[in-house]
Amino acid sequence: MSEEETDMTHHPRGAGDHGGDDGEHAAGSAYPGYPWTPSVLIAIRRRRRWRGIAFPVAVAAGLGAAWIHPLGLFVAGALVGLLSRTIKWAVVAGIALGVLIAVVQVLVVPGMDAGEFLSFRPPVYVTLGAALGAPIWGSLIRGVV
Amino acid sequence: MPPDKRRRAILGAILGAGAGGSVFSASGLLESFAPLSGETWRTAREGVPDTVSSPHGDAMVTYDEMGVPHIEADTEPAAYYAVGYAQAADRLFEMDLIRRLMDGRLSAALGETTVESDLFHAKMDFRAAAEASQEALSGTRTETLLEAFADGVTRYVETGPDPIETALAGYDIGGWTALDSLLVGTQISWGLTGSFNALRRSLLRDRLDAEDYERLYERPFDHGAPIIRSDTAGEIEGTGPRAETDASIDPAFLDWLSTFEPPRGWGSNHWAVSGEHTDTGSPMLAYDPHLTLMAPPIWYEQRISVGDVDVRGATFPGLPFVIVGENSHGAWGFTNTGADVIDHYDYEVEGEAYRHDGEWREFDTKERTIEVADGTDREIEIRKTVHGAFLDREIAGETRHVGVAWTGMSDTRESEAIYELSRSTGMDEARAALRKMDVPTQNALYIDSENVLYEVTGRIPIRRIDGEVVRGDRVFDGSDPETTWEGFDPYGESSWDGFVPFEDTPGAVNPPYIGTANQRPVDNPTYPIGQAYASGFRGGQIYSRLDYRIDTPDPVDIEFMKSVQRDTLDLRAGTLVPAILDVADRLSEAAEPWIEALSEWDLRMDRSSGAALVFSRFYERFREITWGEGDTNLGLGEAFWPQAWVLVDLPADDPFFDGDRASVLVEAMERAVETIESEGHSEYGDVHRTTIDHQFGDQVPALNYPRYPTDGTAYTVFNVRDGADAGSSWRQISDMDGTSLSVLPGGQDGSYFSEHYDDQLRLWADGEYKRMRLETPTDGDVITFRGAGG
Repeated sequence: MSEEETDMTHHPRGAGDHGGDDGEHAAGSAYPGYPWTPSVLIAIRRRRRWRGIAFPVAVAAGLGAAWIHPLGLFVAGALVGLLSRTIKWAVVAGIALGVLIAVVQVLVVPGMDAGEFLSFRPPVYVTLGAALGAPIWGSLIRGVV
Repeated sequence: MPPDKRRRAILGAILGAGAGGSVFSASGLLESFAPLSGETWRTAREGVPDTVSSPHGDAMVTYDEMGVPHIEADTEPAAYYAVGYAQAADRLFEMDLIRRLMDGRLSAALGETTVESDLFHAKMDFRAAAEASQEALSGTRTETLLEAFADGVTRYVETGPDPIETALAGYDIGGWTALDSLLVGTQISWGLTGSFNALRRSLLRDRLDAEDYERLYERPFDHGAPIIRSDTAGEIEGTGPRAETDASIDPAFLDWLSTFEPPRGWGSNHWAVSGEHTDTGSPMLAYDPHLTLMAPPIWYEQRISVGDVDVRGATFPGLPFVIVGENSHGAWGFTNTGADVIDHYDYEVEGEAYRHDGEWREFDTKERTIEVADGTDREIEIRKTVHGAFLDREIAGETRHVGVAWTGMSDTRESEAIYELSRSTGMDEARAALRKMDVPTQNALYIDSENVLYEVTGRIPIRRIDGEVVRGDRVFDGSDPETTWEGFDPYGESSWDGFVPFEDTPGAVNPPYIGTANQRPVDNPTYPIGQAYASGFRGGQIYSRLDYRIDTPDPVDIEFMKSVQRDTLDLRAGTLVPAILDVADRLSEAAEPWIEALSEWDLRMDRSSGAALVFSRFYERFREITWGEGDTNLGLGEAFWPQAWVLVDLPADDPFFDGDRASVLVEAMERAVETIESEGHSEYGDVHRTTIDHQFGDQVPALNYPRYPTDGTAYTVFNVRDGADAGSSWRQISDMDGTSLSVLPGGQDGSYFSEHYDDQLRLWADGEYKRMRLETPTDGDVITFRGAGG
C-alpha cells in the first residue's frame, strides 16, 4: 500500500479524534483506547480506496436493513459511522445517509413526487425525523468503536 | 403490544392524545411512518398486481386517463369479479366503513368513539334487513353476480396492498360477502329516506300554536313548479282526487336519534328533453345528485362491457352494478322524491312486553355484542315489535322509546332493479326494472333514443286511521292495529299489499320535457307522498330555463344542457335583494360598498362576485335572527327551522320579524358586513371553496382535497352548499346521439398517492366535464384476470 492511499498522510493526528491515548492496545486493535475496534475496521478507515468500496456496501446494507424494519435506520447509520475516519465524519455520513433514505423513500412510491411527499403532513414529519435522526444516532457508535 | 393496538396509539399520538410520548406510541409511529419500512409507505408503494387469477373466467380491466376502469369479459360473473377487484383496489377503506357503519361494527375497528353509532345501527338491525333482502334474491342472477363481486373484493383484500387508512387506524379489513353489498344498498336507502322528521313535527305541533305551525310547516310552497305541472303534456299517472293523533316527544331523545339521521338536505337535479326539441333529434338528460361531498367521493365510475351489455356510470363503492349512467340503449338518473316511508310509534311498555291490538305482546328480542377495540365490549338486547325496530335510551333517569317502521327493513329488491336497469334495452324494460325498486323512493328519469320516462319508484305506505287515508308526519299509537302497514313484514317477506300501487305513484310518459329538483312531484297526488320537499328554487329555475329555450327557435343542445347545470342564479336573492336595497338608507357607512355591489348584481352566486359574498353572509344572519332570536324565536335548534321558501316568502309584518322585517334586514346586513370585514374577504370564492375532507382529515390534513374556489349554493342549480359538505356529487349529461359527459368532485382512486386522487376536482369546481364514452382506451394500465383455463 502506498502512502498516498492512506488518509493518515492528510491527517497528522491520526487517531487523535478518537479521544485520549489512555487505553490499552488489545489483540486485533491498533487504536489506543479502543481495544474492541477490529483491526480490519481500522484498516478501512485508514485507506480511502477501501473506504470507497466499503461505504457503498454499507449504504446498500443499511438501506436493506431500513427497508425491513425501523431499527434498520439505526443500523444503517451505525454501518456508515463505523467506517468513517472520525466521529465528525460519522455524523456527516449519517446525515448524508438520512437524506439519501428520504430521497429513496420518495422515489420508491410510484406516482409520488417530492411535493406530495412533503405535503403528507403530519406523518411526513415522523418520516423525515426518523430518516435523519435515526442514522445520525446510529452513526454516533463511531464515538465508542 | 398487538399491532392493531399500537397503531391506534399512533393515531392518538398524532391527535395529541398521546402527547405523553410513550415508548409504545413512539415505536408505533415508526412502525407506520418510518421511511422505507413504515407500513403506510409499504402500502403506498406496493402496486396493484397486473395479473390476477379468477375462478369466474377471463376478464380485463383497462383504466382510462381519469382512472375509470373499463371492464370487459365474456360472462357476467367474470366481469363482476373484476368489478369487485377494481373497486377494492380504489376504494376498499370507504367500502369497509360503510358496511361497518350499517352493521354496527365501527367500534370493532375504531374504538370507543363510535359506540353510540353502533348501538343505534344494531338496534335498527339493518343487518337483519339486508339478510331479508338476501333471502329474497336467493337463486336469482343478481345473487350470483353479488357473490362474484364479493369474491373479487376478497381476492383483492388477500393479495393487494392495504389502503393507507388501515395502516393509520390499525385494523385488518377482512373479506367481503354479498350481504356486505346489500348493507351498502341499505345505507343508500336509509340515507335517502330515513328520517325522524315526524318526531320533530310532533314536537313543533306541541310547541307552536296551530296557526303558526300551519303557516310555517304546512302550506305547500307557492312556486308553481311541481315536477308534473298542470300543463305537462304526455301520459300522466298518479294524480287525481286525494283520498284523505300525537305523543309527547323528549327533545333530548330526539337529539340522540337525530345524530344518526342521514344528513339533512340531500337533494338532486335532473331534467330531460325529448328528441322533438333537441338539435340531434334524440333525447338528452342532465343529472346531478346532491349528496355528501367527501374525499374520496361517494360515487365511483365504472364501465362494464359483457356480451350485449355495455354500461357506464356511477355506483356506490361496494355495489357491483351501475346505479346511474347510461348504456348503449338509454340513460337514467334518480333524484330524491321526499316520500314519507318511515313511521314512528309510541307504546305502552311493561317490562318485556308492549301493548298492541288489545293485548300485551312480548318483544321479539335477541342479544348482541358490540365489539369495541381497546375498550369494553357492550352487550345489548335488540328489541322488535310488530312494526319494526324498537329504539330506547335512558334520558335523565327515564327510558324513552319509539317504534320505527321503515320500508327498507323488509326484503327489498333494489339490487335486482338496478342490475336489470343497467341491462335494459329501452323504456319498457327500464320501467319493468324500476317497478322492482322497492327502496328508495326516487324520481327516476329515463331516456332512450325515442322516449322520455318519469316515474316515482319505491314502496309508499298508505296509512289509515278510522278508515281515512292520513299522512305519516305524526307519532302513531302503537297499540292501534290500524296503524300497522298492511302487507309489510319487517325483517321478513312483504307482500306490499297496502302500499301505493306503482301505477298510482306520479309518473309521466313522453312529456316534451320535464325537470325534477326534489320539489313536490305533483299538486294533487292520488295518495299522500310525503312532506319533505325542497323549496323549489332549483326546480323553478330549471323549468324557467327550459320553458324559455323551448319557446325559442333554437333547439336544445349539449351546450345548453351544460349551461343549465352550471346555472348559479339564486332565486332567494331575487326576492330579498330588492328588500335590502329598500332599507339601504338605514345602513351604516361600512355597508355602502356592499349595497352598491348588490344594486348592480345579476343575482348569480359566482366565485368572483362581491355581492354574492355579502348576500351569502346576509342570508345566514337573516335566518338566525328571524328563527333564533327575538321575542318570537322558535326556541328550537336549527334542525327545526322552516325551509328557505318560508323565510323568503314571509310577509314583512310577520310576528317572527316582530312585525318589522325592515329592521331585521338592517341588522342582518350590518352583521354580515361586520363578519366580512373581520374575515378580510372580498369575493364569494374567498369563502366558497372545495372544503371537501377525508374521514381522517382532522388527523392527517394532507388527505383533504385542495381548496379551489367554486360557485353556487344549496339553492342554485349549480349546487354546492355552504361549507361544501354537500352538493353535486356526480354530474352527468347524456346525449343519446353524441358523446356524454360526467365529472366527480375529486377522483376515482382513494389512495392519496394516486394521480387520480383528486384529478377531477378542478374540473368539477369550474363546472367542466370529461367525456363519458362506451369505448375502451387503447393505452391505459391493464389488469388481466385469468380463469382456470386461461
